[in-house]
Amino acid sequence: MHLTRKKDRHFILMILPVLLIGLVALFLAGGVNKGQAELEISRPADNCTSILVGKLASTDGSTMTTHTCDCGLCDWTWRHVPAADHKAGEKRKIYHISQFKTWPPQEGLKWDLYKKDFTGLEIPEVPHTYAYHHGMFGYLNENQVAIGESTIGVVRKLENQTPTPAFDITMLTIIAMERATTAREAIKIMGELAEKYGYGFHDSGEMLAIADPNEVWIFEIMPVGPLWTPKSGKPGAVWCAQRVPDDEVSVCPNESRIGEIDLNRPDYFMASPNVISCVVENGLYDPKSGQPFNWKKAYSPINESAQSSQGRYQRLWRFFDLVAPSLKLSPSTPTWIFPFRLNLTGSSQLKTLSTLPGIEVMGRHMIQPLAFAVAPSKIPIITVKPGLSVIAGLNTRQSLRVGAGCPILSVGWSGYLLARRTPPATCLFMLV
Amino acid sequence: MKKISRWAGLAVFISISLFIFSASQRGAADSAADNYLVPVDNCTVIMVGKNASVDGSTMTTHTADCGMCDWTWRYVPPADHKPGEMRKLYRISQLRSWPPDQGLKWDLIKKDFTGVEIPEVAHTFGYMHGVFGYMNDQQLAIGESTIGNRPKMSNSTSTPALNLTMLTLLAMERCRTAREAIKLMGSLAEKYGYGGEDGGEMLAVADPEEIWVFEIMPVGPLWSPKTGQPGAIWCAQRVPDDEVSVCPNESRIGEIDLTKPDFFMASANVISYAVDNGLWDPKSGQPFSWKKAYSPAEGSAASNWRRARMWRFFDLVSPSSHFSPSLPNMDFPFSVKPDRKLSVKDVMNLCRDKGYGTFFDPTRGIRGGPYQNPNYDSSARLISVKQAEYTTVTQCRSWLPDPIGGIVWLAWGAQDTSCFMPFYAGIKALPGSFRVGDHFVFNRDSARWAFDYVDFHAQVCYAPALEEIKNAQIKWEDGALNQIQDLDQKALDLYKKNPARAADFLTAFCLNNAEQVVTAWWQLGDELLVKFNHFGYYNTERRTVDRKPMEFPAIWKKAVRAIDALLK
Repeated sequence: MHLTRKKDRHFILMILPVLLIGLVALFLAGGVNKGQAELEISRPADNCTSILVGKLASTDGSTMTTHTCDCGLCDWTWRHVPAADHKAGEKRKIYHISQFKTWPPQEGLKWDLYKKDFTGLEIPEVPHTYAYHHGMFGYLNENQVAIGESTIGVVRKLENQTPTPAFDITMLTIIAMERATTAREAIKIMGELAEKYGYGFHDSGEMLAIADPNEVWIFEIMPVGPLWTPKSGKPGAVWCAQRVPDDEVSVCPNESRIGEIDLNRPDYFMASPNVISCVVENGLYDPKSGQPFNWKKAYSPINESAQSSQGRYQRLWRFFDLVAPSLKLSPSTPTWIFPFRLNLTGSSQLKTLSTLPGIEVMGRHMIQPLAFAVAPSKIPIITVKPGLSVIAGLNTRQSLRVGAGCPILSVGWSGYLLARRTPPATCLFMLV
Repeated sequence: MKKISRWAGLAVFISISLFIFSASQRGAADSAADNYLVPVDNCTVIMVGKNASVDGSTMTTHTADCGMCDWTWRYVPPADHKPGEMRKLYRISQLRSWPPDQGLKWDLIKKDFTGVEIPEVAHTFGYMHGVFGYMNDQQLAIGESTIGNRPKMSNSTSTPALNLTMLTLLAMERCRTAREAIKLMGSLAEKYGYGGEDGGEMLAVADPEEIWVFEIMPVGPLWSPKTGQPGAIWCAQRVPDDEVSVCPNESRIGEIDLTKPDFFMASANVISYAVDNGLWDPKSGQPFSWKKAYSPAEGSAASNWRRARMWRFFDLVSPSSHFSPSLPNMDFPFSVKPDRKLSVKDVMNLCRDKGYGTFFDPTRGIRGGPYQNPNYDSSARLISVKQAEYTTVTQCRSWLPDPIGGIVWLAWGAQDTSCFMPFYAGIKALPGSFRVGDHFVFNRDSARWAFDYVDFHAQVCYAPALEEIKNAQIKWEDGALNQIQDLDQKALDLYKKNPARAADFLTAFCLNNAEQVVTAWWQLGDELLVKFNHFGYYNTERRTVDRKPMEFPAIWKKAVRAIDALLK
């Protein structure tokens, strides 16, 4: 590219300081990044979205969950399982069930064939199991316990792909359907079984939306590493659940959604006893750091934004922007910063957002893909509307906060700084 | 740099030719009230003389490119008739179709009796027909292309009792040779009047020895049988045995020499009508030209891309002649000796031609989208078009008895995704699935829909889907072509013992083959649906999804980026 016009030359001079600051910022960012490798998570396939609507956030008072089951080659079959009474002493067999496995039609149906994968574990059957509908997961039982699912992944060292854990997510949802009358019951049933018999094998970090007519919960569950055995006496899973307030909505787009937790509020939070100890033992969280414990940062961190991932992680922003356009959320906001849930009726969330560390209220649609006009794919250029601030993705790990009044600027992945209009005298950069 | 200047040159060339074309269009409209009739560009006919084909066949083709017509075919058996029997003439539209619940076209046309009956002949031959008659058991073969006529000649009144379809059916019933057919159609049209549903029309009329271009026009709305004047005007020119010709919806007969009866035939009024109607002035010093007088067509491939077929055909068969795309179509020769003799497969491929690699390539640049689909861009008209009802390739072979010598190769729907199936002249039936179906009601009992089913699923990911389809064409179309010699011999052996047994043998083969192909195409449609579902590439053997082959070509990715920059 040749910047030969006089105006452009003038402009280069003007942005030179900005360029220097940018390079320094990049250097610093690189230093901070070194700690990130350990936090690498088993990247979930972007294969499911789950939306949750509280009973006061729906027009008719329903609670709602969704599950877009976006596999592309999975077995999609559904069936109804009738209610049943069971004699004392009967056992419930536990099977390994893969979300992904399919069989050629001539070999039979998934829900007959999975019985070949008996884990060897039988648990005591309950006197009565409820009727339910299920596909890849249990979705609704006769008590109106409803489930939706989204894979969220887990820090790699906590994965457990051995067959030692008897439970996977599908089996848990099926047991929940058979035994639960409320969302809270379902969470407890699944959590306890997973702790006792282990969770993993086919599945890693998973999120379930669990609803009954009154409440909607986000339940997230993780394996605890490949060395776990039932004999260790430790829980074979770690899980956490947070309730979506009745008048709010939330979403899970293959990303963990539970942040800081407050187990003193049992109507809003539940967790396995090892919820903090597990990460401390595994060096994923230091209680002495002064930072509060944050479930998603500890177990399933993702440091991307809609913008930085070139749209791959855009669902979180898109959902929030669709349901609450008044918030003017920016696609360049890292997804982990997005709130757990959104109140659709008031502006209180706006306040919450703007008080989050390092965040300002952001302009919508201020990011335009100009990059291709300059150099292919390597230089995302971010333009900023006058009078608005922006969180500009400097790289995938860090953000730059730009003070109000900086009309146009762009920051590239590799230190390029380009600009289109003469900036005003002051441009404030702050590393957050 | 060289590339850029070439493109720039092309752009200049195009804009200049567009300018000239639009200017000349205006000029024509200003100067002549008798302006050019632009025919619908709905059919292409290719003709191959017996010494221009690899095996000595004469060949005709007909791509019936309507897109909404009744496409059904049937077999009409030979019949003997008593003296005094009459043949009723019906009004038959090429374009009309009926809702399936009302019945079949070839029953329903009988409601449109013209009121005219002509004496029946003692014996009518068996034949196969769709929109037109295509082949009878005497190896008389026909292909068709609408060419249009000067507007003042049109006669859409109900006075003429004959239309083109009816003429071809009568030719099938009554004629053994091309010359007989031309004389019969010409004389009947003169006597009973030609027009109604049709205007200027061209037929390729072939027998094992000769191929003729036959062109016929109405003579204006004021004609009636009582005038004593011929109710049609027609002319025919023979394609030299070692040459090939084409009719892309444009009249092909220029100057005529009626002193050479082996090469020219015409109605008595062929020149007088032009003189009487001011379409040609004998004193002008210009020789009489049939097409200039009655059906002049404007432009060239370069000036009007919709008229690209003429250049494309001549350039394909005779690249050594270096025909120019800017040569006006009217100035192309009547026929040309091909650089190399054509096989049946060559002719099928000509029918499938989409001008790939030329300026008229419908996938040039990003016109075809990420999967090089030729069906989005229709700015140029090539021989193969997506809306084909069916395509015929007829073969007439002098060295075999007629029932074995004649073959109609029939491919349903768009040529690129279809499959040619052979039907010998002597067969006694056509598949029942050929008799039914229309464009507006999906019908699994209709053979045509099997091919549309494949074609539809090919649109999703055209380039990779076409590879699958080509494999099926190799199996079934090339498979049949490769069997022909064997079949000929077996049929000939039977024929020598008992012609009826040969007919049974050929009927069984043709119907069985057609049924297998139709079944295979239904299956192929299912397979394409599964394989390219969700723009994936489902590997049905490994039960995996392989997205690699579905990657967009580099030019497409580049274009997306360029457009982003443009729309910024």
